Order: sequence, then structure tokens, then C-alpha cells
Amino acid sequence: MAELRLSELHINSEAIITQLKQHTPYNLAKLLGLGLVPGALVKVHQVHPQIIVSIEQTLIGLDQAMADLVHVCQVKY
Amino acid sequence: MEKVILIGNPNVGKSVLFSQLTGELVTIANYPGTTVQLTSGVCQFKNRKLEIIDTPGLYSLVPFSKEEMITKQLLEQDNFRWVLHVVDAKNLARMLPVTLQLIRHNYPVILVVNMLDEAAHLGIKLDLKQLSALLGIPVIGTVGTQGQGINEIIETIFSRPAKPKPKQRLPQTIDYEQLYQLAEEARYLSRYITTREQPITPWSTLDKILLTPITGLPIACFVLYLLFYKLVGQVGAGIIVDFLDERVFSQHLLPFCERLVLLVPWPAIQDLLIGEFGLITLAIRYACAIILPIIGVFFFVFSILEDTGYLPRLAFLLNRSLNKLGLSGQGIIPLVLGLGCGTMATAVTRTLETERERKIAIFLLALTIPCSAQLGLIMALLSTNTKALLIWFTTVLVIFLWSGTLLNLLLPGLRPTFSLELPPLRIPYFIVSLQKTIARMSWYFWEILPIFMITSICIWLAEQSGLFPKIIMFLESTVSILGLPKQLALPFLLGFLRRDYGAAGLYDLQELLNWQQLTIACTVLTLFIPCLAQFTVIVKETSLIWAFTTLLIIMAIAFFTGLTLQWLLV
Repeated sequence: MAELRLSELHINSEAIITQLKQHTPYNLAKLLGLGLVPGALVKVHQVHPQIIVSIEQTLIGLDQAMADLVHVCQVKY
Repeated sequence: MEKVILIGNPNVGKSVLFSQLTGELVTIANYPGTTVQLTSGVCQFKNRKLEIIDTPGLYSLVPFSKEEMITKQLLEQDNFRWVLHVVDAKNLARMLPVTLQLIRHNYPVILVVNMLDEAAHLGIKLDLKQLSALLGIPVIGTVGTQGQGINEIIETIFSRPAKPKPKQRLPQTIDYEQLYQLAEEARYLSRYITTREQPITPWSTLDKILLTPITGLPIACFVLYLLFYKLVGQVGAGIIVDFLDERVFSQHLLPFCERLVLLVPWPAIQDLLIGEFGLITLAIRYACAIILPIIGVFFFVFSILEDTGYLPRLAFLLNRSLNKLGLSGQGIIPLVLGLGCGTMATAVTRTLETERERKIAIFLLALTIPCSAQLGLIMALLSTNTKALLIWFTTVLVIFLWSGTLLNLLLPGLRPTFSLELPPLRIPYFIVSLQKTIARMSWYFWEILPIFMITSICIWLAEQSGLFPKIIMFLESTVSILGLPKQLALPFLLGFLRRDYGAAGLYDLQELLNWQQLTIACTVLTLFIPCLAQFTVIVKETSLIWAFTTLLIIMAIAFFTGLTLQWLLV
């Protein structure tokens, strides 16, 4: 299945995080702390002006630069 | 006294649990990063005492921000009995990696699974006994806001002495492989002990309305206008100050105090107490009748905003605009808090990610953000003249945008990124908001009163020694250049010590000024140097050189803005 960036997903799409790329240590720690870890299932709720995703019961707001670091594989039902 | 440390992700309710355990109130908020320093309190149980330490939130055991570093340093000390790791019951998988890391490093951990009520509301059931067995540590479920599970924590702390093992040093650098493994393990554990009735999405229609710019921005403007202009400006600085200052103080308390003080035979002492700049007439009246009601209304409004979970949404909404000023969306939190107290807000800039962002926020706070007492008084002074209010607002806004943009262009360093948890929208508990307001008002009052009193004493000493007229003469020449009456030298002098003190002085002299002079005076006093307390925090958060450079630039900007306005208006 093709790998995408989190920032490339559309509203209401769901995806599994595959890896976090080209991050600084601080950004990596923040993403992991927010639960954006490989294997986690995310759902996209908003893409403009920034991205909002949910993981479990947490809503997370990300800007384009941070969402670009998260690589995902889209889930199609 | 033995110690227990409370740690956990931001916004999991550590501060609520701290208050429940110790009976002491810390400022608790529904946004990440409320606790910016260590708070300690005593927990008593059957004649035994224990020190509880609340820490700033941390995302991992490898610290990347100043506040995370504080927690890490505390964990590396040896003198504590237990670490209470507080996690959110709704998001167990996300938070268990830190628990697992602490266990691996031989820390004596009690896992506190908080917000069980919110999890239950979402149909999530957790088998905490099973989790305790799997982890091999005590696991306690709590609802911090209702005090549920607090006794169990206390009993566990006292009844089960921690078995000291040689603790391993916490990781200094991030080990990606290990973090991924921990996350995987945490997810497995969480799934194993969780049963869900039906999946509920945390995304609601209200979220959509608040977070979409086309609807969210007008709502944000309306909320800020309603809360700050209407409530702080018109109710706080208008109705309440009028009542306290003109009725309570001027008609009853001051005449009563004067009668008492006149019984003292020494005129110098009479002057110190009830003279023009006396302790009662100036220091106590300004603090109690003018500043405290305004700051009280502001803190109440801010507490309500915090507790609803609206502030992180505001941060999200304004992120792109603030990026142009070199700030991320999180920068809005110290900026809004600065509308209450610049000193407190300068300390809160510690939650911002980069040094560059902190410096920009600190500069903008010092230059353009009036504190609530100042803001309330300015609103009260200018509200009768819409033109004056508009000129003041536009001037301050233009300088805010101009200085932020310029700093963004000139300052080297990393541009901020934005990633923030948006906590659930909640209806605030009135009592909790009120308690927080009282705690903050009390902190503020005891901070300003000594400064006001010392100022009064200094002015009295300067008057007695003949120095005061010379300082005033020097300042009179400065205010004359700005086309303002000489009597305004005093508010400017007071403004050096406290911004709000200066504004209160201006409030007293409003009848001497025409609308142009009032506009110039309000603008210069808004931009004018940060107060002594804020300046001290700026030195602490940056450096002495940076703080003095900021001070000089601010004074120059304030003075030249005043001159420009005089040239344009008069």
C-alpha cells in the first residue's frame, strides 16, 4: 500500500502511522508524546487552515510542517 | 519530610490531584502547560506528613523544553518515596510508555489513572486490577475533580513503603527503537485491559464551528470583546471601581481613617499615612479599590476561558497569523494572560518551544500588552470618546504587528512548529473557577501591596528630603515635550514601579486632560516600560543584557509614538 504524508490525507480518511521522518529530536518527542507513534490509527477531521486528527479520544492540531513528518498508510474499508 | 512527586503528560489533572492531596490551590487549567514551575504542599494522614510536589507536564523522560528539564532534574534526585504517574483514562495507550520507562529504570511508581468519569462517559471501561498485575505496581483509578480515589492514593503511599532499588540514570538522548517498542507495548497493554461499548469520536459539531476560520474567527473576536471590553473594562473598571473608590473609600473609609490618623501628634507621620501619596490614600486605595476589582474580574474571565478548553482552540485558530510574528499558536496563551498580568505571562512564556519564540513573546508583552488593571482603566478613560479609543487601539495594534514582524525578520533561530492537544470542551465548574480566581487574586494582591507601600514610603522619604520635587521637575519636562500637563509626571513616575499604579494615577487626573492628551497619555503609558516585577522576570527568563536592551528600545518606541501622536492630533 502506498505511503503518504499525514498532510496529504483528506477529511474523514483514516490511516495507520508507518513512520516519522526527517524530524528534530524535539519534534519527535512531541509527536510521540501526543500519541503519533507508528502503528497508531488516526482519523482526519480538518485539513485547513491546519490539520486536526484524532487518536483514540484525543484531538490533535498540527501545522503543515509537523504533519509532513508523519508518514501513513491509508485504511480503506 | 519524605517526598512524593506527581508527574504526567500535560492536561491529565496533576494539579487537581495536587490540590486534593494537599488542600492547596494551584492554578489549574484546561490547557497544556499550566504548571511552569514546581509547586509543593503538605499531605497529612494520621499525624504523618508527606511533601507532595507538582511538576510541569512532560511528554517523555528525555526533556526538550525548560519545563520538562525541571521535572527531569527532580526525578534524578534521590530523596523521594514515590513517583505518582498521573495518566488520562481516555488515552491510556498514549501515556503508558512513560510508566513503562519509569518501571524499567527502577523508579518506585504508583500509576494514577485519572478522569475515569470522562472515560466512562465515552463508554470506556478499564480493568485496573489486571493492569496492576501486569505492570507489577499499584494502580489507582481517580476522578480528581470529585475527589474520588484520593484516600486510596494516600493509604497506598503510607501503607506500602516503596522498596528502594538502585535507580538507573534516565536516558539523556532519545532511543528511537526503544520508544517505538514502548509505544507498541503500551498499546498492547491498553487494549488488553480496555472494553469499549461503542466508539465515540472526540470531534464534535461545536469543535467544527470553533476551529473553522470562517466561523471560529468571528466567534473569537466576539468572545474576546465580550469578556475583556464588556466584563473587564465596563463591569470591572467601570461599575465595581466606581462603587469601591467613590462610595466605599472616598465617602466612608478615607474620612474615617483621616479622623483616626489626626489623633497622631506628628505631622510627618500623618503625611505618611494620609498625605497626597500616603500609605492609606495612595497605596491601599489604589490596590484595593482600583486594581484588585479589575484584576479579579479578569482572572475570573480567564479561569472560565481556561476551564472550557477554549484557549487551545484559540491557539490553533491563530497559529498561522501568529507565525508571521515569529510565534506559534501557543504564543496566544501568554499574550492573553498578559492582558491580566504581564509578570505572570512572562513566566508562562517558558512553555513556548524555542528561545527565539520566548524572546519575541517577552518583548511583545513588555511593549504592547497592557495588564488588566491598566487595560480596564484605559477602557474606562477612553470609553466616552470612540475616536480616542480607536486611535489608542489602532496605534497599539500597529506597533504590536510591526514589532513582531520586525523581530521575526531579524532574530536568528528556529521557526516555531505547531502541534497541540485540543482537550475536550467542558462546562466549567463555577466553584472551581471562583476558587482559582481567589487564589490568583490573593497571589497578585500580596505581590502588589508591598510594592505600592514601598513606593509610597519612597515618595514620602523623597518629599521629606527635598529630592521628590527634583525628580518630578525632570519628568515634568519630559511630559511637556509630549504636550501633556505637568501633573502627569507623577503617573509616569508611578508607572516605572507598576504599570497599573501609573494607570491608576492617570485615572485620578483625567479631568485635567482633553481627548487628544488623554489618547497620547494612555498610548504612552501602555507602551511604556514594563513594571519592576515584570522586568525582574524578563531578566530571569532571558539575560540582564537582553532585558536592558529591551527596556531601552521600549522607552524609545513609547516616546517617539507619543511624539508622533502629538504631531498628528494636536
